[in-house]
Amino acid sequence: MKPKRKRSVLQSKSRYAYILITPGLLLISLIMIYPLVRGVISSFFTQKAASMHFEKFAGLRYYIELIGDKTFILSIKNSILYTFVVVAVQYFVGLAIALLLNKNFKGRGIYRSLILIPWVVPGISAAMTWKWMYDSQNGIINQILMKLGFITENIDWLGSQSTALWAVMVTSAWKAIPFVAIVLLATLQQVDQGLYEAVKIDGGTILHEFRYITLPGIKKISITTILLETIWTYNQFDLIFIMTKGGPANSSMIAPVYTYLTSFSFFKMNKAAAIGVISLIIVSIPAILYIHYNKKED
Amino acid sequence: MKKLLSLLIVCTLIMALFAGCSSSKDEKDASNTNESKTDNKKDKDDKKADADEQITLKFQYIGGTVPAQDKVINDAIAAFKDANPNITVEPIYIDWGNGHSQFYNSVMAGTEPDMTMLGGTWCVEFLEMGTFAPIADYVSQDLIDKFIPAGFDIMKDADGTIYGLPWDGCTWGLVYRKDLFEQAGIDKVPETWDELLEAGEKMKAIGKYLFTVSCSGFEVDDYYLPFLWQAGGEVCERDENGKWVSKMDTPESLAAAEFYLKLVQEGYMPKEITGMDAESVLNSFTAGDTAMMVTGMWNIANLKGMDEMDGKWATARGWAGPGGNAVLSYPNTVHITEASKNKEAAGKFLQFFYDEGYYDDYCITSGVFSFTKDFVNTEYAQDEMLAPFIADAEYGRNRPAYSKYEEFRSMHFNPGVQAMVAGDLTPEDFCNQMAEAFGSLE
Repeated sequence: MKPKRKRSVLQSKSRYAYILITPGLLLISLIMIYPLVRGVISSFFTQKAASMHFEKFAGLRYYIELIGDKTFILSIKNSILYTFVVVAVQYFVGLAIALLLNKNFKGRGIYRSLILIPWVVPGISAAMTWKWMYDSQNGIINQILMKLGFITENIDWLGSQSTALWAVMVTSAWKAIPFVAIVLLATLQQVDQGLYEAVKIDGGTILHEFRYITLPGIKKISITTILLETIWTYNQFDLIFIMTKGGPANSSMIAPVYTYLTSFSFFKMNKAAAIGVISLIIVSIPAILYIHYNKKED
Repeated sequence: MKKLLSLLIVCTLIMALFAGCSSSKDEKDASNTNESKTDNKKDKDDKKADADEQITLKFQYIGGTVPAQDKVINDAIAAFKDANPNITVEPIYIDWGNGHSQFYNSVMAGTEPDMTMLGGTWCVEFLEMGTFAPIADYVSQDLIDKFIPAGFDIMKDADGTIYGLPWDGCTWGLVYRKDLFEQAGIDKVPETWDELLEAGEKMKAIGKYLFTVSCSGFEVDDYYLPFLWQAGGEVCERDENGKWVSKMDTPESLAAAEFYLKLVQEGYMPKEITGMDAESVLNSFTAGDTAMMVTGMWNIANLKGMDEMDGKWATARGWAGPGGNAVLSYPNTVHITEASKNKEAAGKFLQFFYDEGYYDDYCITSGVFSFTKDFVNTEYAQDEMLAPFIADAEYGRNRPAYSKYEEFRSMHFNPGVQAMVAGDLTPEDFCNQMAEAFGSLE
């Protein structure tokens, strides 16, 4: 009889838990899942401007249209390049900073606080500040490079097709490096220091320490951080929109900016929904890999 | 339990989906069509409505950046209420960043205000949706006749029916540095394209740029179109069937492209303009790198506020090209919505706002000008810095009143001009590609 009673208590507890999370689930369904589902459906229908009403089924019309849309293809390519470069820079520079701040040195606390500044600066302020710094005629970056003798004439960082996207990448990486650094630093502090001592006793080098202790210690959190940064960076809108608006000549056009223009400037809501669906699929790939990895690890 | 929960979520989703698909807007869309016919009748009846009937009008107004602007609006609303105790006007203040989307959303939801102010060319797309009421039905012809006719260009349909009134207007005019002109030995501001090239050579000799315009972001066409118009060209025109057709592959369009590119290639304009927004242009001007800029008239107040620029600058009237003079000059707009149940009262308020001097006060407070024919004679318009801008309004042109123009300029025209400046397109290729791109707009 005893085990039966225990089971019924458990059942009643889990029922209670389900009841408690139901309002939250419903809310999430309404504000997240419903718009998502509607967005996907919208990409298969035609719709009049300024109307919520779907007119008729369009099948894959908008997706086929997008395949022939050079700006869309460019925006996807740019988004992938932008995300890959920015996340790579964020991770490796963030890791280097975390390793540095994990060492014992005077004023370490101050540096740990200062490193957070780019992360807390609002996106719009960061974009405007970097825009001024990149100014082709009076920007501080050109002035410094000129004084150091690296350049002989001003570079039009945001106005040249060959540099605009890369210039924004620098700003994006600069802004998010602190997040990666702090997350990795917190993880590094949990690594057992005794293991490093053991490597030293066995005659191991710093490289051995990094490869056999640090890297396995931060592996899981690194994957999570890279996944989050990939999603955030791919969906980033503010920096490009403020700094280049996707120009010049669409050279820095990325998917979120193109989606915005298609929906809110050209009022092609269904086509914009199709771009959104494709972006969702692209961003889902690393997320699926992450889930797969977690399952494997478990 | 798991199954039950999953079922619950799925049911909720499906219900929500169906609820969304058959949203109230759709019902409103349907009922609006039927209602609009009866509304027209009703509106006429409104005219005879009981004067004691309490009416509340919603007026969406973009502002809030200049408190004095809001004061003029609030004063007008209070005075109108005194004169018409049964009509209350409720202002809905929106910032510029949200002005367009807020109105768009309200149209989607079927909750349009009775009156709305819109920026520059926003009204074009709504005009095609039938969002606005013909203004001549609700304000006097005398009031309509007061405005510079070009102010109505974007508010007319193919039949010439007008669907709004000009609000505050702005001209993009010429500001130049007297000190640099003197240094370069240029004794007068260029009045033709040839004189512009001549002055450019002189300015180049002292290591300065003659002229800078923004060629970045969404602003490219604002500063390119005047060259096109000055050459006698157009982006597009309506054909005899009312269909918009490209005029980009004309000799005039090619002349404009060649001239614009020449200014860059000869070093009269910096090649970095593709990275310069209006603010960078102003910075270049105030730093003394460039001797002339084309800018909106709001910058006059900015320059007046800079002590270091005292006595160094002045304004002048724009130059003419082979096709004559042309500057970018257009007003924001104000409209009565077709969905309003109180169009008569809304018209009464607008008539009051314009007739009682609040319109002029509002424009002066904003540092711009009212788009009326006689504004040029006001004391405000005699300001020596503002006068050339206001006078240039007679050559004022606006972007094409074509709802696909926004897409054309963002996706094709602006990137095309930038590619030409960067040397990736010849003027011929630019013109041909633009004509082709225009034709491909859906």
